[in-house]
Amino acid sequence: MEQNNSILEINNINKTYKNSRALSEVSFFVEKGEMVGLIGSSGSGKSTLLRLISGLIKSDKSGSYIKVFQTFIQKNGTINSGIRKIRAKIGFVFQKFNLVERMSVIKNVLVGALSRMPFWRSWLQIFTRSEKILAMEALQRVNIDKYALQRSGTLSGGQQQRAAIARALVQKAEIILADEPIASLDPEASRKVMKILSKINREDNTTVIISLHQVEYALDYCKRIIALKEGKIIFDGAPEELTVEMLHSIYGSEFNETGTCDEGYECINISRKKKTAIKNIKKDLTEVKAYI
Amino acid sequence: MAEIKNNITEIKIPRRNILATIGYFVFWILLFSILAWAYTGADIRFIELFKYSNNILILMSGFFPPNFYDWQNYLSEMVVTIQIAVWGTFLAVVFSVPFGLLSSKNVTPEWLRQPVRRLMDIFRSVNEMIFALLFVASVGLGPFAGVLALFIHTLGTLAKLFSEAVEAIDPHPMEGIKATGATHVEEIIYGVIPQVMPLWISYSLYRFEANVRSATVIGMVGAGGIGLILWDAVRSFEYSSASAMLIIIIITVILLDLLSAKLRELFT
Repeated sequence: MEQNNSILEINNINKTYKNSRALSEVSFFVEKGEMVGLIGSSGSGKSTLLRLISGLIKSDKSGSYIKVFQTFIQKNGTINSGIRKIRAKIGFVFQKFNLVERMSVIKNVLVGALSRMPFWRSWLQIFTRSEKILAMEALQRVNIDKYALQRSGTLSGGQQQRAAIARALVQKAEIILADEPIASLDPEASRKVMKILSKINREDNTTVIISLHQVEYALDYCKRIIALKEGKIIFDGAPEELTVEMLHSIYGSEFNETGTCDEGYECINISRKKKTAIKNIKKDLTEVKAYI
Repeated sequence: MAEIKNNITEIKIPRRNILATIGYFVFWILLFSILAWAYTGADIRFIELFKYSNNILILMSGFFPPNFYDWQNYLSEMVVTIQIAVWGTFLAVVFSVPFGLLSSKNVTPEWLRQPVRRLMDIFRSVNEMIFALLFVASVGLGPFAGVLALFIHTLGTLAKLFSEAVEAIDPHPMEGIKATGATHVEEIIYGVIPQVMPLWISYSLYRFEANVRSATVIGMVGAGGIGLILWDAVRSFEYSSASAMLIIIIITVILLDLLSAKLRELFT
């Protein structure tokens, strides 16, 4: 892979929380305009990885580095002191939306412009006309412009998540990191959010890295899948290369086709869910093959 | 019948942990020993309270009927008292914003937070009466000394309350703002302040109520307002005038409490 064209470079990253290893020897490159789905069961290190990329947490000191736009985010467990300038170009979409609920939707979205404003204007909360227009355009793109003046807490989950995406648009982000953006949403809202993210990816050539608990969504919307298990990358490739055996090893015993397991009722339930997931995957794969 | 009896014998009453039982008795023994220890020092004389109750009644009868002859003066002094409370509270609120944030765990690093907190502890632990005495000595008799006394003591209290509100916020929105490349101050302006605003307003109004009450008292050490003339009246045995002043104070305080409670409802 041509190293110099990569928008994101992750090299040999380790991350340890107290005694448990969250990530070990993770390395990969992402090119501009890719839409990458990070999959893995909970606790596999997906969130940790995204937080490391945004410099919200530090990696272990192990000769490792993360580069975004050819600039170090962190190196050897030390975060770049100019992180704010780089972060301004990285949009982050969280599972819990992370909006200020008591603030209006438009102001939440205008927060994306703060890094370009002189401090006195940002401290006094004075936004220019062009900044407000930019925010309204972003809200139109995610189709919630009519709620601009409402408190964001009054919106539904899906709408709040779309507001969070609008915030990333106002940032003029070149990379959007989305950490389980649909985990708290119902299926319909999930589809909408995924569609918006993939539309932004297509139209603006924005790189999108999105962690997902549900494999179906990753297969539907991402052209590249990276699978993590216990902090290690065990798969990196196109969705059609992902086999059922691979999914077995990604989700471990949780992913059980026979639908029975020793640990009791709850476990059976989980495997039923996974069984439908397998069916979906098989369906998707045949569709993909038919398409090709 | 027999079946029912059987059922009763089968029910087991859960026994309290033996340590919990011991703890329960130790608590009461401790409480009574503390009260006994403080009895002599505090010079408790309930019997004399009854024996000389007549004196108290005579003193009380001096308060009736209240003498409202000079009511305009009392009212204007009451207004001064409220004005002292307004400015004392206002200054305290303004300064409590930075000092409250500086004493919050989630926004200020340890090395800065600890000294600020200790300073606020000092401000809070010294009564406004004592501050009033100090300020009367330094800026002279009159309302301004009262304003400063209320300001310092209220600053200590409000900064603590403000910081508790800040520490109880949801950290997620702050993280969301941080992730856009915003500075720490911007995180606070956009992520913290909107979340704590209702509580801060409510605390400030509550402190204003308390400060109107305190302002009537600090007048007695020469810090202006109705307290000053009330103290004069008591010292010159003009109990009927004092009683008129007390009635004015009580009515004002009740009205302000009601008003502030209504206002606070709007924000919570």
